[in-house]
Amino acid sequence: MDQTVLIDVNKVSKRYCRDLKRSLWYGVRDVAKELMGQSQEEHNLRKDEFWGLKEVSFRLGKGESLGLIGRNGAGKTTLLKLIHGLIKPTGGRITVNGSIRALIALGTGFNPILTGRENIRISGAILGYTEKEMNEKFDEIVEFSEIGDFIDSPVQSYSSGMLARLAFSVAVHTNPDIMLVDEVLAVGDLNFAIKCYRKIVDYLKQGGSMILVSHNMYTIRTNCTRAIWLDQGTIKTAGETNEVCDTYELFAARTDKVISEQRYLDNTIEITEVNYPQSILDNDSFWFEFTIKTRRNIKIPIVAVSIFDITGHNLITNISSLDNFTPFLKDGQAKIRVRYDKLYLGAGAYHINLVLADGHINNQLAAFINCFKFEVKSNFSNFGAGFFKLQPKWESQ
Amino acid sequence: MLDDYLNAIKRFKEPVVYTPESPILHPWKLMTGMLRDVGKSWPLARRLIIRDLTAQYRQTIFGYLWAIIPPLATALIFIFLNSAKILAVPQTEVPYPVYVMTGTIFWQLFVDALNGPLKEINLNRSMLTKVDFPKEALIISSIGQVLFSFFIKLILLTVILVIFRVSVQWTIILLIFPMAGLLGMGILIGVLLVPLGVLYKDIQQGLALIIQPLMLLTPVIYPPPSEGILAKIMNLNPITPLILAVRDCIFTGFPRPLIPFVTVCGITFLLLFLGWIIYRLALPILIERMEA
Repeated sequence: MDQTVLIDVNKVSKRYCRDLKRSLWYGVRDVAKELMGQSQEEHNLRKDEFWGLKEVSFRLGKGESLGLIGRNGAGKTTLLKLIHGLIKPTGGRITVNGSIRALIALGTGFNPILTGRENIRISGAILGYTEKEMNEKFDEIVEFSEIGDFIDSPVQSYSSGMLARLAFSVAVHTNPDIMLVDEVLAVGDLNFAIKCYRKIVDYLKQGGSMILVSHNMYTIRTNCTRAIWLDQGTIKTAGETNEVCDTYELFAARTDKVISEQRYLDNTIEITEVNYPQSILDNDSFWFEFTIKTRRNIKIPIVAVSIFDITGHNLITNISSLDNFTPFLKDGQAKIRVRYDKLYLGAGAYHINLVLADGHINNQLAAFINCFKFEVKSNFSNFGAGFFKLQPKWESQ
Repeated sequence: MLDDYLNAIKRFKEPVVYTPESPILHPWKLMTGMLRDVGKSWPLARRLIIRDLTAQYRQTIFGYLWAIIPPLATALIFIFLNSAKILAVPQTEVPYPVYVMTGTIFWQLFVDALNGPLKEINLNRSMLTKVDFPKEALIISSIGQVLFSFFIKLILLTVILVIFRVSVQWTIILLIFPMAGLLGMGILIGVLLVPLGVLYKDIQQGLALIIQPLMLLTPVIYPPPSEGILAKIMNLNPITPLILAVRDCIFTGFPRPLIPFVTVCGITFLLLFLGWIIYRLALPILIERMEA
């Protein structure tokens, strides 16, 4: 990697105001200060203010791509806006060495009445295309957007996906030294999203640098060499992407208030006792046991177990009847133990749903959503990419 | 070879530094930045002008006629009031309809220019909060749009001059000066109102309220009276010499008296530079207070 530093963010702070009326008044005062040549530098907060960013420092080198993660309101977009020079810092110093293109929002400057063709030129001019560049790239942009004959129709007749595709195409046909991308990659249908990723990958391959804000950990893990986790305006962790993402995901899962929910057809059914390990290593076996109590007469009891990741993807479902197992209910009570020799799940947090049915799995008597939560930790954090941990047999001939 | 060289120059840029400091402490850097950004503004300004003009008129039936309808409507009202003797306008040097039309058309130039900057900024709020572009483009764009609609009005004026067979003086070529003066003063006031106007909607509301009475304090529809309170106010009104100069240039010759006219123009253009600096310094602070 080239050692040239493209962006140097040094102890940058930014304060914001919660209250609208007061914010406007502070605005008047700040403008007055600016005009009188006073610095906006402040170490204290005024009434109703908070630190949107507090003493954040990092560097972006040439060829690097940096992921910014964190909860809503953590300061990610503020940081991009400061680097882009849209707003002024309250403290610190930002040095930018190279041309920047920001994809903070798509389609800025679009006018609904004008045609796609006209809007491409407008959007391009806003993003800093010269007339010559635009003439060269125009056909390529139209083709990339897959808009077809609609290109000469007013964009208000476009579907939202088409609009996003057009906007993205304009934004991405350029070669700045640095790209600032804020949550705009996943636009349009699946095919187009893949095309967009490919475009970004090409850009990075050609030595481009990028700061990417996304809530999609997969996007961050696959596109970024480093990551920063921002929390309430400060850097919580920074470093190698997978490590930072793992820490963040685990934290998110722990603080995530998963609401256990029970859906009954028969409210005499309850789960009285659950035993499970809170955390396992990714090559451990995994087991848990629970006790079902019911006053109902169940002819053929069936139990189903589903494992979900924190984003709600159902990763594994096992149904007792399909595995030729029938729980034995004695006095309306059964203690059931489930054991996986190996779970094959990557590092992260997971939760489990339990379902009790009679005769057929569709004949559900009770469902226990988010029954409990457990964590999988990885021995090899640096290689933690991917949802699953499978052990292949390697051969060479 | 030459291309490589030019690309190399384009590539080699000084690093940009953002700090909490006020740029006013580095006047040289501020000035060069201003000049550089004006240069960079043109392609964008051109696109914005085309965008706003086409969008504005594409959704109408009367199209560009809308540029002449407001001043024509105002003029017709006063022509009617005057002919019905409800209003007693003293004898003017040219037929009254011609007098009113010149007044309202050039007054509209001032008003459009005055409303221009704030209107353009409000129209492009989302752009301002998301993309960095030379902010001067917004002002250039609003000047362009004002001028476009003004030139349509000039066609109307020409038609009226022909209909009433009014002969014009050669000094009509000097019309460019009061025209620039009115445009400049409108833009100046408009730009100075930006910092407060972006934050508080009161400014735009208030403006709409003030403009009508202000017209009556300017010799737009009647000549300045020779005495009384209105005469004094009109005398102090800085727009008066500009509007009077317009008619002088077309109908009688050199603007008379010349000194107030030249002074107003001179001060306007000096202050415009100051307004530009204020605009430039204020915008980044205003942007953070704009809704995203």
